[in-house]
Amino acid sequence: MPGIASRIRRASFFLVCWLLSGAPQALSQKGEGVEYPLKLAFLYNFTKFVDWPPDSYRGAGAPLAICIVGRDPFSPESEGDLRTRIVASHPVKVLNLKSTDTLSVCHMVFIPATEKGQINKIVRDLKGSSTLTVGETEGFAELGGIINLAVEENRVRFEVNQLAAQRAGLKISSKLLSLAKIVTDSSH
Amino acid sequence: MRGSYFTFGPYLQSAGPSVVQGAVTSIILSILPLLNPTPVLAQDSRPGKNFTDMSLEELMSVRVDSVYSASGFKQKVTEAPASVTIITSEDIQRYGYRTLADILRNIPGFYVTYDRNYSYLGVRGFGLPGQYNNSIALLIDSHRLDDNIFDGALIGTDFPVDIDLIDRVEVIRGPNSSLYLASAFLGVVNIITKHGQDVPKLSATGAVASYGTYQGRVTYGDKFHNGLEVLLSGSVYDSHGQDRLSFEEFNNPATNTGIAVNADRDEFHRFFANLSWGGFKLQGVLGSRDKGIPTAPFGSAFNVTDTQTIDERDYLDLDYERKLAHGWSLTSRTSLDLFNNDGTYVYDYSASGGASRVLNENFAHGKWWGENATFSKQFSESQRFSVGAEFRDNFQQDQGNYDLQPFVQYFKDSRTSTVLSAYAQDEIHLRKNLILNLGLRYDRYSIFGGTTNPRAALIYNPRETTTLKFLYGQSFRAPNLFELYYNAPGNEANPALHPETVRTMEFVWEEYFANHFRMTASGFYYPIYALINQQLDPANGNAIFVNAGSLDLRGLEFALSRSLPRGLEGTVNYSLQEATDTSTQIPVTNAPKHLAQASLSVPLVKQIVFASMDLQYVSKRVTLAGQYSGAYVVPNVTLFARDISKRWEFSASLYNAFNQKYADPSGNGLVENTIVQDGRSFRIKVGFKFQ
Repeated sequence: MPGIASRIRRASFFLVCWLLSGAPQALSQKGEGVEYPLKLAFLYNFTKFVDWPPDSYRGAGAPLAICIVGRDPFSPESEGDLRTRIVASHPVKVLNLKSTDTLSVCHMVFIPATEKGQINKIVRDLKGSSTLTVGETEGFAELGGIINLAVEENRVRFEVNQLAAQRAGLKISSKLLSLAKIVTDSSH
Repeated sequence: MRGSYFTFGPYLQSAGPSVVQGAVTSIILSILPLLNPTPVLAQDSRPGKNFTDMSLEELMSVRVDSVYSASGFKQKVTEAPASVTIITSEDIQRYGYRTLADILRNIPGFYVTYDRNYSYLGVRGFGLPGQYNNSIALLIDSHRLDDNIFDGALIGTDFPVDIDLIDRVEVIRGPNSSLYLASAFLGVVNIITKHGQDVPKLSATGAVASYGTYQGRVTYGDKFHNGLEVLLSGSVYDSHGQDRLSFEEFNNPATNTGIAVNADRDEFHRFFANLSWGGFKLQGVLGSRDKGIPTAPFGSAFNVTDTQTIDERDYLDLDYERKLAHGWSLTSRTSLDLFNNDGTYVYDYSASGGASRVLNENFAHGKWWGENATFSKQFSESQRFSVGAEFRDNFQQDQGNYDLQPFVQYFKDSRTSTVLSAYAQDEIHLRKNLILNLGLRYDRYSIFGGTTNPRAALIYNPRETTTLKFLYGQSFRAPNLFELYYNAPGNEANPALHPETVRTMEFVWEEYFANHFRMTASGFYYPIYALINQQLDPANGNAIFVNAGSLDLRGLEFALSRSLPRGLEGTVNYSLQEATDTSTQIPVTNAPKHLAQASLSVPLVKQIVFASMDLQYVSKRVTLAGQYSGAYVVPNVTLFARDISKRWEFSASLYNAFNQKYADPSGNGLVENTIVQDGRSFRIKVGFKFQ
């Protein structure tokens, strides 16, 4: 079949052109200000791979509450986008909370790096409740937090403390675990 | 699966290539303006936009140049994953894949050959007629699918799990995983299935397709308060197949001028169950397919509707995962498997004074149970170690062949055997950007004795966007029971067969450009020794398996892909591969020199409606008769829409969109040189969620 290879080459050429056309722009993309929008997207993604016990919701269509403790590093725009999302029939709610005593209403609690002084207290207070604690401080997961986000070699990575998740009665999907670094409580 | 048949006529390759090529080019040209990447990218590069729609893997690949928080690990999280291609359920829906074969023909270096009964996977120029996918480890949730008579794996309509229940397919190319199967030097295909929570509580799909094809599936999935997760699903498929199939070799008045009428039917039913609770997982698979064979294999009568095979593949698999003391973890797998292959062939013995219609039955029945236990431990900084053992007890391995009426037993063989294996793998981080991965596997076959095969990989990241891999491995394929003992008329057993051995050398270069852009290039050299191949015994013309010299596979692969967060994605793959018979210099059959694949998926309405196209190009291939089957290009187009009124899902596909006429080389046992493939066909599929 003469010519068929050349036609294929031509067709592929156009596809390659398209593939390549975005590369220069993408390469020049600055990473400034990407970290927190990105981390918020991680928080949202985690909700899809973590099972909360049904009784942690008030009802079938009750909201899934993501709470940010203390100073909120996320922009109102990206939080607003999250509020339009629905995870397994639960609309996402984003709350900014100052005090630890209201955290029991949260499905997920994010403790920004600026609030690292509160980690021990929050983790202790939330013991026994089905709350997914997410931090961004070194050693967070070893202290009993469930997921810790970290920037490593310019990429966001995460650690999971499976034991802490089990204690909280949360089931973390194997998909999430397969992408995570698994850590356990540091022995005291 | 009897005999290796696979073979056909030069007249088929006279397709109108110009029409196809022109159309392919024009479709791409017409799509291109739609794809002007600038607006999409402009939004992309605004921080914060679109991240929410990305998958975790995509998020993990986004570059964060400025770090504001004081976070960071002392250790690396994951080190360069293996060279894996992942096809997700999303891809399956968007591209309208019907079978596992449809998925695999889009993997770089892979091509699929169909003889209108079984689908055979060729990888890197290795697709010898008569090999039932023996050199690939096909796994469902890590459960080995190969049977204990042909060591084969089913990838067509005979694959026992409904394609809608696949969460993703992980394809590890090359020898980089000998944890599963000593013979899997071409790669590992692991199918990860969905669980109760991944599906609606109750859902159904129905499909109508060309050639009188109807298909339906009902699936139930749930998770209960006590933690029990359940998925149950049942599927049926009924295809009348092509009304008339034309085979040049039978073109004479006694055989209906080479037209096989209504002889191409294909039916299956499948049942699937996934249960999980705590650390336990129980999976049940039941699949049975009945395929009419239009090709008159093994000298049976042409243009009859009763020649068929029924392939049944069932298993129960219980997995248990547990954390042990001191950071060790245990994975245990216990399983019970069944494989029944029953063929019925219509023979006309009138020429030799017998009846003009005699049913000949051919069977292969296998049952086995197995146990596999793996212990693994992550040593703090720099080492991950796994060690395991596997035992397989083949307590039934029966083959036979007989005429039904008048009863004549031609061949019967009953055996049992065991395989005991042990393996270890160690991943050592020599330096921050340098990993050494060592593997060792020992297999002891009750039929042959033991064999030990090492494997080593060096993974180097000179820069964070660049990965270089050097892979070396040895591999081993024991002859299967069919090759050893099958002894029906026209065949000859060869119990003296010994294993074939392979050495694999490979180099891989992976490069990531910015966020959404990926390039992979690899070169490989696989010398195969004592190749097990089917030949005709010159003394009597019987088909016999022999260790026939050696084969060299070498080639280059190149893949480019780009996938934007909003759902636009495209890939181009090209493989140059050369298979050489180093002992005889005879051209290797069914080994295309060039393979190319391309795919493009365009979201028409954000995350709701997609238009997608994939195409495969396969260059000419030598057939068993030393002729050629022509090159072909087959594009497939699918329009897919979901979340219509929240409950409906719809897809419309056109396969072989430009009606390319093409044929695949056939195997021994067939008179045909090549086997005609389907022309343009369609499928309409509708899905509904009840709750």
